[in-house]
Amino acid sequence: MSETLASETSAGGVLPGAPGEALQVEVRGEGELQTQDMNLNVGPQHPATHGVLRVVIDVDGERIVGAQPVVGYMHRAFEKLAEHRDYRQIIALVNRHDWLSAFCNEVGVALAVERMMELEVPERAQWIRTMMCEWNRIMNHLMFVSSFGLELGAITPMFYAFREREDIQHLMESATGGRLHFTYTRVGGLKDDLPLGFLKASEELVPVVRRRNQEYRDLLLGNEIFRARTKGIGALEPEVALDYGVSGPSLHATGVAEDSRVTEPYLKYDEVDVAVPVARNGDSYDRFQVLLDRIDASCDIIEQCLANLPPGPISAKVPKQIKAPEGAIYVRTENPLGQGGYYLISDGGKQPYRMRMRTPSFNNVQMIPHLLQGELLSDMVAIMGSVYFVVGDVDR
Amino acid sequence: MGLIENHEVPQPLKFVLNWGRKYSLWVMNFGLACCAIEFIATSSARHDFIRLGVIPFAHGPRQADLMIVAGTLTDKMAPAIKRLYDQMPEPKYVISFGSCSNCGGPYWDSYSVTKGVDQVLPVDVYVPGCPPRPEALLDGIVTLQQQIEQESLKERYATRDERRPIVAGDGDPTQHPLDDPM
Amino acid sequence: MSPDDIADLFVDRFGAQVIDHHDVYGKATITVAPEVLVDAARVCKESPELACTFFDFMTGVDLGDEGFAVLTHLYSPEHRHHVHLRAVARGGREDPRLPTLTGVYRGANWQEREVWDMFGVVFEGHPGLAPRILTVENFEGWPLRKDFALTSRLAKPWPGEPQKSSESKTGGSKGGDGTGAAATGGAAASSGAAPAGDQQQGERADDAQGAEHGAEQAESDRVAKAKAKAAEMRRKKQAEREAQQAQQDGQGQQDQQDDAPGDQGEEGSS
Repeated sequence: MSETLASETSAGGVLPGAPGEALQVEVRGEGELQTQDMNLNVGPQHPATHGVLRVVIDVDGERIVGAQPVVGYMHRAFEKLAEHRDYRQIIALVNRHDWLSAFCNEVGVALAVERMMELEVPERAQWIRTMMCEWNRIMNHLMFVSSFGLELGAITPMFYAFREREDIQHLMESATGGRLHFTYTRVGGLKDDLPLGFLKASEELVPVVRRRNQEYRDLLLGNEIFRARTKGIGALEPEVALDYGVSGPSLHATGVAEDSRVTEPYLKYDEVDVAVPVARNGDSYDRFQVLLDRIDASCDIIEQCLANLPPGPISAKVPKQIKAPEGAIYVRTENPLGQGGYYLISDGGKQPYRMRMRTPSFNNVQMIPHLLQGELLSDMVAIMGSVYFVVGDVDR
Repeated sequence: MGLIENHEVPQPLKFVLNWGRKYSLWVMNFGLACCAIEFIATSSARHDFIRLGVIPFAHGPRQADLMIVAGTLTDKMAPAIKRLYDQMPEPKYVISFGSCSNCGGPYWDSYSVTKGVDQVLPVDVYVPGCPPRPEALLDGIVTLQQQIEQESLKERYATRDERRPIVAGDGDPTQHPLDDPM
Repeated sequence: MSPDDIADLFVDRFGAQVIDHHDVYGKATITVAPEVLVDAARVCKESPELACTFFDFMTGVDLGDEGFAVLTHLYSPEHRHHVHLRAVARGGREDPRLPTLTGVYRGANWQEREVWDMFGVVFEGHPGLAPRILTVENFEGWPLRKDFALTSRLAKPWPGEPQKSSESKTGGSKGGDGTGAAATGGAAASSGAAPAGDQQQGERADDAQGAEHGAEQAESDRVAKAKAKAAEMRRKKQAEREAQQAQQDGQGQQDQQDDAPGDQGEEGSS
């Protein structure tokens, strides 16, 4: 690597905030009052960083003057591996990136290939896919309900949220066979139909989730300590968020209601009412509130799916070896964490020529230095916990 | 402790000491990837490994005696895990949870994944699965507890240097092939 | 705005610097010359007709001999249209360079670092491309280039293949065609599912020896031996398959050829 590429600092890295800013340790004051900023390393193994994310921060006393996330500790080279696997294997691999909501990742790949092949996916499969995406959304958000509470010191929501997750995982397992990585989608439809009793169990679980969601509101949003620790902390402006490419709850909390289920409906989102909860201030409290509102919105969508589910086949007829025709396509889906997408370049073979996975967490994490600038060290956890990301999504 | 290292403890006392150790494992959770979610699910109310004496969320490696490596270990993360393992006091145990940490798993051909945590650390129990069910982790913990029940610390320390990781080339467990970028 | 209108806007502004434009499944893809890339991005962001304020992602594509193309996807939440801005980096494969977009979009920072890490495309004016963002800091090579071989696949083409050495680790084996993958993936820049031929094997052997980036040198002997063995097996299978193909020529059933029993793929093991 040539020296012109490295920045001017001895640390060899640059604060990725405004262009040109460098991570420099400042010495302030004179004489006996001279202080020096301290360079702290948070992670990569740290209980509060949601996985292997490392943040190198510069603190002046209690105030953070600079932060630089170091990612790549979970880089598993998906894009290179995708060039060596065919589409069914890619679906099995791709659900391991946003591991909290695996089905949503799979659906993106299937949609991309189906659109290129101009496959007509049966109605039942599309409705089931929609419903599964929404269950996954609830599972994902429940995890962040639990972890955000845990980081702020509220241990109870963690056990409550996992109680819900276990119920939903039991439901998903009865249909797909997996608790976490479903591999339920195939190009052209689904692997299998739903088992007997699934619909009834879903209908019974939705009101339970709704009721317990209200418990989380009371427990957390109404809690004085929680409000004191999150209101006004980590406020994000909508222009900055769009500039970084932030999407999902973090963007909706700033007031921008950009949701590709509404703007470019895929699956059956054009036939259901999709509510997109937004908030005004863009701080940690609002991001969390949006999360809880989204759980309710997803419950609504699931009920609509259950009401509209038609009978029929669950997979289109596809050849044994799926070959996408030559060309390129970009498909966006609204993953629970934000905007996900697949840019697929195919050369006509059964393996992609290039598959780029656009992950919401990569852009969300890039925004962290901007949010942490000038905040207190004790607010760092509240901010990082409220910018929802999954490290597998960041590093792929 | 010089006594236990050099002398074989008589059976009744060994039984008591092993019993104490196997039912009070503090876990340094090394949750890396998806398997960490199943690890957390195992510690939650439904499956609950705390009833086996395994307590999660040790405050740091220096207060832990069991490391459960859950998730994919990448080459970038390997020096960190080696350093944390070295910080754990003896006797320490490692459970490799999930197929990524067993052998590289679905990322077996990746250029950035360490194909198995046993290339860096000595592993006591392997729990297969992708991700393994929480019941599988409970089974792994019970297996480890059965191992601890039978073991003699003198032998364990004597063979400690031979429990080296399976590394291609020479296997000096204190050196890592990569320079430590930290 | 429809993709054609977007393309017209660019052609009006930049004239001959717009090299190409397509409508890719409803999204406009505009290929511009690298010199006007920053201006084109600025037009996207600041002009009221386009108003592409959402920086979606940036990706690199290995074009083979032409070098590398970098594609930036921008989106407008107001008008709900997409623009793919594409530019082929100057300098071919040896020294690909492009101007940076960090002055226009803040989100370009990490995306460009990733493209540099994966392809080696240098973005001039970027505040700091190093250290490598996704791979290890002392990683050698540019992983997503087509001539970067996955050494695990060269040493053992697919887990579960019976002809491999005793150390074959079977990690999460999935059904499907693996040896076809080993033949086409890795070194050969030629795309398409061409079956493994001797020439390709020779190419790959050369490239693998030359491109032994980031792999232990001690492995190269074992790798070479394993490759030779794999090549021999592949040649045998190829001969078998050609004989079979000659037999089934009259039937013209593509599916039968593609699908070997037990989901082993075209060159499934015996």
